[in-house]
Amino acid sequence: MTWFRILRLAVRALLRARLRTLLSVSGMAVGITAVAVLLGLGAGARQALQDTIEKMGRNLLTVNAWMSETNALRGTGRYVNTLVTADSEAVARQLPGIEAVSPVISGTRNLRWGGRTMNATVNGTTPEYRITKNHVVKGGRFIDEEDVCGGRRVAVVGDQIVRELFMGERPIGETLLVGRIPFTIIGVLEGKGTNPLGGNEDDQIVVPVTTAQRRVYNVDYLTRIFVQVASKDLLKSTTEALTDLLRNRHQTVDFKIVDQTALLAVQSENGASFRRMIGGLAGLALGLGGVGLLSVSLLSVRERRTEIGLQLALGARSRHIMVQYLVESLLVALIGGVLGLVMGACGIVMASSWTQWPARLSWDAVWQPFVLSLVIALAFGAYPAWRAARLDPIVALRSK
Amino acid sequence: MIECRGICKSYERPGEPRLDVLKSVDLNIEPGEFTAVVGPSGSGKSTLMNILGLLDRPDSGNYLLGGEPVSNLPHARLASLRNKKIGFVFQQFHLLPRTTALENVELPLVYADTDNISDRAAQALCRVGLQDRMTHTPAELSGGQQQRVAIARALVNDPEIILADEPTGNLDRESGAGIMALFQELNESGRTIIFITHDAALAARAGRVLTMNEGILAEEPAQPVGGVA
Ligand SMILES: Nc1ncnc2c1ncn2[C@@H]1O[C@H](COP(=O)(O)OP(=O)(O)OP(=O)(O)O)[C@@H](O)[C@H]1O
Ligand SMILES: [Mg+2]
Repeated sequence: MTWFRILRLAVRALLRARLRTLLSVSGMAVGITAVAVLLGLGAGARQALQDTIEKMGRNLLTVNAWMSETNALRGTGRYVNTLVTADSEAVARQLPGIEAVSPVISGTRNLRWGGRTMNATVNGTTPEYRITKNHVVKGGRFIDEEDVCGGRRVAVVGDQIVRELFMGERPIGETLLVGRIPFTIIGVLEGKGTNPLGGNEDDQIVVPVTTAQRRVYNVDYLTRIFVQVASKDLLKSTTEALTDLLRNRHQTVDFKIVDQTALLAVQSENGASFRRMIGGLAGLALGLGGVGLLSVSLLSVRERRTEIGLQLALGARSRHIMVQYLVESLLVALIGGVLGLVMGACGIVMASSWTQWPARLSWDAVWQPFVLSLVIALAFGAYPAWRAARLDPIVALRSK
Repeated sequence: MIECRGICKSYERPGEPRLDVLKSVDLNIEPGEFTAVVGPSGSGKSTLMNILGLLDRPDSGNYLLGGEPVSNLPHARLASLRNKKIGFVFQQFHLLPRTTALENVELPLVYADTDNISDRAAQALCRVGLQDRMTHTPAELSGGQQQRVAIARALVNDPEIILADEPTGNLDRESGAGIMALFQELNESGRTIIFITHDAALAARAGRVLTMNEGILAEEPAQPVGGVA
């Protein structure tokens, strides 16, 4: 009962000094708005990164056939032709924690259909390619084991090829000339657009690795191997195991392993510096809000000294006074916090619909500023409340 | 009820001689007494009153309140004694602004942590004749009514002692007389009352008059009621 009544006293006191309350509430609101927007931008950027990683293949390591720098200096050949299908089979068989492995022979070829031509990336691979690169088959089917074993001339085409070569017509069942070799189109891939690393996967056609090696490129090696590991935590250890395995098999390091998750994380750091700047501003705004609250509360305690003296004369204990003034700060922070959240949410919605920044309203952007405002209220409200609570009754009563 | 022995209080300010405000005050107040304290301005009346009301501490001397030595009690215990045993009435009323009479009167009960706060506050307001002013704020009350609210607030926790420092000092003669009548009524119902006044006529209505002079408290011989010029 006492505490409820003290809460009421605090509310009354805030209502009594409307202008003062309004000032400190708006100070808090501005700070909280800034923090909410910042968190929204951060969440948006994280989500964008997550989406990109999802699109490009989750937990993916790429083993590229690569000249070691010493070999390059010696000038021993332009291409490395030591990465082979047997390597990818060994990886799949021998390494733990691997989800899928797809060998790829890649190059550029001219495509021809119905009197039109275009250049495209021709990837020879296995059915696992769809898993490692997280491709969605929009129509028809992907290549399967039998296509690979039989070295069949079948192709799955990317979105851009459907658009540019087939002018958006359904291409399944059509015969496509890859160089001079005819392939039957069996499926269409969903488009992905360009990724932040500058890659475009929509201009590719996917064919069985066997067919590509024998008929398209006339080689027996691979360009790269995609390795998908079971979890993000395994990326580092698998990179090491993969290096050991291939170094053993090749007796040299003629490959380079790329962790695209790490690359993307570096990429997203560019946005982070911008966010750090906003973060600084948000911290500043919040700090100013806190200092505003502090000075307004101190002023309030000073102005209400006789009132405090009276409360003490009527039997209030220090903790009653302390709690009342803390509650006043908390209420200011709460109201300011809620206002700030609403304004921050509007800011996030506006930022995401009117600008390029991928802002996103996340649960974090709601509860974190909220908790923060309470913490600030306690931190900056504690001193004035303490000052109020330790007033001597007679000194307080006699002050004018 | 109140027993003081050798109460001293002095103030020291840098560059000035020490100011002895109370010079060994002895005082006995029995339950049910109605006492007036008079004396020139600056003689130490309020200082004594604040010590009696546990708002201030003496530099030396013994103070027994209801037989309990209170000189060295912790803050929390003092707060509780102020809350339960003593009711204060001030010259400046000291009501919370923009707060209804009822809520002002409720305040001591808030800190007493009791039930029926509103009912008891309403009863106290009836007692001082303000049953139809309960929702008025101080700005909507006359000075005399405001002091009645303050008295209701002093009464609401049913204290044994009421201490009033110039309760009529800010009131016109008529309202002052009304407040005195109220005090008299309260005294007749058994409360111990000590009040400070500059008005000899009001002092004369008390059963006992003490005179403070430069920090020395003296008993004034009993006078017939109304016998002061
Ligand atoms: N905090 C203080 N510091 C220094 N001197 C003080 C302090 N408080 C009171 N005094 C002095 O103590 C003396 C007594 O003050 P007190 O308020 O008790 O007088 P009073 O008898 O109530 O006078 P009045 O009738 O005018 O109210 C005064 O001279 C005053 O200046
Ligand atoms: Mg005085």
